[in-house]
Amino acid sequence: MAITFEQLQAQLDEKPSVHLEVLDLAVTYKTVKGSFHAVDNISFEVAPGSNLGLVGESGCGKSTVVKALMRLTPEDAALSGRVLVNGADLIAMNAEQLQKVRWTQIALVTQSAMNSLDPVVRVGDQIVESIRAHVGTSYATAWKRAEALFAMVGLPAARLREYPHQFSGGMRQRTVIAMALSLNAGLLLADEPTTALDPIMQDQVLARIQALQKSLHRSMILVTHDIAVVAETCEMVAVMYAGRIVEYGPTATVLTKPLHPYTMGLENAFPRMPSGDGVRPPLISIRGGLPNLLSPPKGCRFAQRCPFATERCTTEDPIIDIKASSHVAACHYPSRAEEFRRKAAEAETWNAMEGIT
Amino acid sequence: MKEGDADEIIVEALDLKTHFSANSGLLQAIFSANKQAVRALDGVNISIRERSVTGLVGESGCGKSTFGMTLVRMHEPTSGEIKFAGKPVTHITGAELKNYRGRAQIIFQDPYSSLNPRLTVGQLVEEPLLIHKIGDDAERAEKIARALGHVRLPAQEYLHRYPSDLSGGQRQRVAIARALVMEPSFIVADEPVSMLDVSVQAGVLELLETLSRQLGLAVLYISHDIATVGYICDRVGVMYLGKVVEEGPTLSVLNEPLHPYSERLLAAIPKVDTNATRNRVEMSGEVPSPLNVPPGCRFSTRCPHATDLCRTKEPELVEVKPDHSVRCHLY
Amino acid sequence: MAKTPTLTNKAANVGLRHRMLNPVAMLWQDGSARIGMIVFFLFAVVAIFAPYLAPYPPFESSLSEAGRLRRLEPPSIDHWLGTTTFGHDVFSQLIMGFRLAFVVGVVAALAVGFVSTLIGIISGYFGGVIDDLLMRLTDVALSIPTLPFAIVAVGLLGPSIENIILVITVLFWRNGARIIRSTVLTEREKIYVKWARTAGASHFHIIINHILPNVFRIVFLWITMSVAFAILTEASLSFLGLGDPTAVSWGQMLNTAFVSGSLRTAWWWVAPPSIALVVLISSIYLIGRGYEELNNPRLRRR
Repeated sequence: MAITFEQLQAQLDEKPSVHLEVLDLAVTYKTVKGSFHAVDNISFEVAPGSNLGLVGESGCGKSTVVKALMRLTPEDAALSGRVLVNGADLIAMNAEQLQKVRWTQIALVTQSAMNSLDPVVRVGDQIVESIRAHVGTSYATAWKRAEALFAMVGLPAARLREYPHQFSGGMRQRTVIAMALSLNAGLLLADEPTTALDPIMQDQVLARIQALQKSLHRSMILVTHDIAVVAETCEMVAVMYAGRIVEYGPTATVLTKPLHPYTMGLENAFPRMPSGDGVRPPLISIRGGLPNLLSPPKGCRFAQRCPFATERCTTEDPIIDIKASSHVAACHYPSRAEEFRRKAAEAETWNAMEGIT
Repeated sequence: MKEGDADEIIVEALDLKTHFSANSGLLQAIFSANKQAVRALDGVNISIRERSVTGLVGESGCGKSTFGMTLVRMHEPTSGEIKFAGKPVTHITGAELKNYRGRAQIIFQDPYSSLNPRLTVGQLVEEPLLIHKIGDDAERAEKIARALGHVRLPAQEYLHRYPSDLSGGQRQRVAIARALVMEPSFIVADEPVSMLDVSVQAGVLELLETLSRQLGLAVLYISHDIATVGYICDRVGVMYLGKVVEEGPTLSVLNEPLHPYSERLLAAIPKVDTNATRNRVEMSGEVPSPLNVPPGCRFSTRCPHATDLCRTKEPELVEVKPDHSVRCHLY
Repeated sequence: MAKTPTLTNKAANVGLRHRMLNPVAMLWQDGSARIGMIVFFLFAVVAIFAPYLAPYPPFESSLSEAGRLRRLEPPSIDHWLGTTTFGHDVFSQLIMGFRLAFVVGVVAALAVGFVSTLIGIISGYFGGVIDDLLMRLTDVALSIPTLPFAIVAVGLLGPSIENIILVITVLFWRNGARIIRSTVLTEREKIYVKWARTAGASHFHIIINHILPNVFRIVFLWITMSVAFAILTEASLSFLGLGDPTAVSWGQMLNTAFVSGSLRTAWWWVAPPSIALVVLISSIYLIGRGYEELNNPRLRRR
């Protein structure tokens, strides 16, 4: 039975935001050369209505996490662990159950808006289609909803009648966000939503996302390589390295008092503006490269690039237990963090390491 | 100013314009009466000195890459002049052009597609020498080893490796070595680190700066990331829609931007420091198309301070602070 | 390779050999392509040693002890595949047919490969007016109906192997040129090609060092498929009586059988060339299919 616009709005408004618990999630690809552990037993939690930033560099597995949370990993990838969406385990679901969760409970915003939009269908019709695929409602009602969504992301409703190619990059990205919001899903997965945009447009889209999060109280995972974006958007942050979470905690604490040397390196390497007195910030880069995930080294995965690594680091795997404390790191020496932070701020510390970036 | 003052100007662009024809295809060219021009680069003056890194920032489509490509003569300038070591190279051809191509090198953004995957590091770095028929086997081997040494890739270890074995940062180093092997006096680095991971960007940036000092190179560093400019550039120009709207010493431009556009560009950068609250400035509209450049000041369609004067008369570049110029009627 | 970098000459040669052998080594991994390659190789061996393998000269009429022509005899110990209506040994003709199929197939395919690569690269690399002209020429070539053109052309030029190869080349360069051009168009946009221009490289240098090696796979595929087209076209022409009368070919065997009215009765005469043709063409298609699969991950089975 078709429902009216008011009924649809009320129904969508009632949706609770998602409480996501990820426990020991692992994604393993079988290749000819052996098992590739793209994501290796990671755990994190997103409290209802909160934002988690998932930060890391290329190859750290953050995009694989997104795919796993949408159950979009290719067939040859083995998933294990549990992903609890308001208590229901996503990993154990069959195709039919998944269909009910995807888009209605978990919505995805990807980096390349162009690929998410059909070039030959009007933008409004695409939003209408995505609504009517999940809710029994009339075209007119769904169109009204689309107009409301465009207002939310700051686009004029008249442009719903246009095609994606008539939009600029920023407008397309906003359209994709509007689509993701169309069913007021309880959890928004934003995978590098602004990476392809110019600085000013990125800033405007981010401002939009932040404002929407404030007003709609949805849960969100923001995946990005840009720690500044996370610093401004997310309450909690998980730093990933080589398929694992190496540090997890409240964003402000993680960024001001990092416990893991990788987080320290990443933060110090982040380009900063020169200070007012004209002193240039030091150029810091982490020497060496990612370990081979086909045969990961023993011990800590960052040990080879870590200026503070000891013998213990190359033999014993540091454990991260997110339940232990609000701010945790996969490092054997959390007590020496203060000393590490001081040294990590100097370029020489990192340059003393072998290897070429 | 630093020792940079005494150094000579290597490359100079004088009112350089590069327009492209918007009509592509035979039929359109024949039947279309009014030929539209994409004014990608619309009158740029910049001089780049030896032993210095000059930055050029702006958003995509502002013409910064067109400028780089025009300087190395990959795009034919529509008008204006390019001077190299005091001599015009704007329209040189044949052997003269080939000679210039040896002395002015370019490094591209994408380290994954700028190296032919079928060639080894040694072959990649050797290629420019073969193109210019320089040296015999032994001399070339020596030059290659020296170039790889400059970018801190030990020749023994890397000579026979293929690009697919290298990380993004290492590939970009190979691209720099390939430029250095010709012993150029000018290098255009077009977004050399924007595709690299944050943790390795600094290594490549530092290399560019050091090389510029050591080898006396004039470097044009093109980037959309204003923060990286602060690390290595002596001077920086901000481009908007084909024109430089502000130009000056890096610290002055970054800390006290004059042009309303530069202000907004700087304000748009998110800050790592969670305590700092950033004044977000909303900016209306989008960058106009270079097919349809607004009259008067190019930024007037989006500028909050725009007056009638701005919408009718194009402002000149005026020196407001020592060595720091801006193209705006407000000053 | 005029300007193969010399510093790492050893590596370059290895690279070149690698490039040439790579398709074969890669194909070996694919089951169906491997079967195709084995069959093709066996056929090639027969073709090379055909004169030694054939027990009789192909056009020698076999006479019985009584001095009578042994026409249309079914398979026997003397004639493993029987005889034709003229008393020729079918087995010997079949074996010699291998040779002709291979000469026509390989020579024509190489000629087709050469012409399509040349036109494809020039058109795709230089673009503009050159591209426009060459592609309009290709359009015209594409509108030529294959068999009628071949029949008329061979009829006019005279039935000889050289003319058949020429006609096949004229007919099949067109699709190849199109395919190779489109690959060149993507290769041309690679940043290393742009870089080579900024470094002052000549067009010749870029084509030899950067374009050709990267379109080689497509050229190889096109040559492989052209072998099949060429053999089929030659067989068709010969069957229609336009084959070289001085050489034995499978198509011509079938033609003789047809003309002499034995098509329905002398199975030993009709079946061998038909089967040989089908097996050979299938083996080439298997190779082509495997090659495409390896180069196009979307087709690759998981």
